[in-house]
Amino acid sequence: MDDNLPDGWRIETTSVLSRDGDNIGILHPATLHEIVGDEISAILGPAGRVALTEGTNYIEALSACGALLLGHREEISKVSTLLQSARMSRTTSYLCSISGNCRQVLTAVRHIQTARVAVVGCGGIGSLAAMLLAGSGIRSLTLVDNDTIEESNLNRQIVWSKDDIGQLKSDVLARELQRRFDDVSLALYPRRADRSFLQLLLSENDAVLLTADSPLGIVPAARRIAARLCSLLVTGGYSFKHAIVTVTNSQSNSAGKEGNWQSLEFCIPPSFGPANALLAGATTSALLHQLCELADYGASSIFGWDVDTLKNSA
Amino acid sequence: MAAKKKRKTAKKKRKVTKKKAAAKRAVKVRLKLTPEQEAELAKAFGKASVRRIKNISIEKIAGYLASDVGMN
Repeated sequence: MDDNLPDGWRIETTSVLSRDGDNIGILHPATLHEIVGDEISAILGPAGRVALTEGTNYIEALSACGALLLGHREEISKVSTLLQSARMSRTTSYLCSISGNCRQVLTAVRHIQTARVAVVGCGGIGSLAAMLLAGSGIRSLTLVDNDTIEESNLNRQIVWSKDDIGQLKSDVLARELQRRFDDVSLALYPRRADRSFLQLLLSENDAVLLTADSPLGIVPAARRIAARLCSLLVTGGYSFKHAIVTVTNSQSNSAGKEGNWQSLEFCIPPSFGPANALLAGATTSALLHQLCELADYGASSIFGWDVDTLKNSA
Repeated sequence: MAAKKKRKTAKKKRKVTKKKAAAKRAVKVRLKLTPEQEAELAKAFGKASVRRIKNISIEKIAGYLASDVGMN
């Protein structure tokens, strides 16, 4: 790779690009080179593929495909350290793919690491979402759920085992989170999330992820409260075969009429393991992008898909 | 005669479809830079370099997926 660089330029194994000993930026560590014969014919970076035709400068081609993140010496050093850390390397590499420079990467990491997030509902979607949030670098989690683990949960809620049956979901989830991530501080609320408690959670946290399916009507009610408080709320759940994710933020409108719904006495809401994993991924991804201010979901976002076809249903 | 004509039309149709697919695969764009990024690039590489970078065409990822690049 260094053969393609002008004199004085160097790319360290730590992904740092330097010129005459001065650090210029970070080369995205997922950058790919397309080799034809012994020569590099193209580079693939976050923005796409750039062909190295005659006269195309290698460094300029790296910049064009978004593979170079420039920054000051200190910023470069911090991003490089994050890329080498076992805890944050993959999240940082992803953030490098959607950031324009080292400063943006560090801002996004700081937003993630200092955010307080509440997960309301620690079942099929919420338990996995809490793991994904902690794994991505969230260090302060509040877990809200008054359910205990039942045998019928084991087929799709992958955090629990048979030994955990009868225990509170929030307790077991906290134990499993601490087993994997000892830098996460946890607050547990083994209780139902009524409106006044949701209001408290939305005002005391940077974001709330709501995956609980009871009490009925909790999602529209929470969305109205979040819009009124200008708080970040992400919800994920089902309506029959439709998986639905909503994002409410400071741009959202709190208008909307309140209705009453009633379920059957023998209600069994759908919960499908593979779709739970998709919902956990979609909700946590939306939440993290909003926290990092690296995505704009607009004023009111409801998106969803039919679980059987994965076609857009929102 | 009619069958031959039909075959010819089908072949022509296939050709157009292939052509369209190839064009779709090779969507070419140029890097969009924020003023901050542009200033950083100019500081690091010079203004002439920024002009050249903005003119380099980028093939979107679909182009890469369609090519025969070996992965290790």
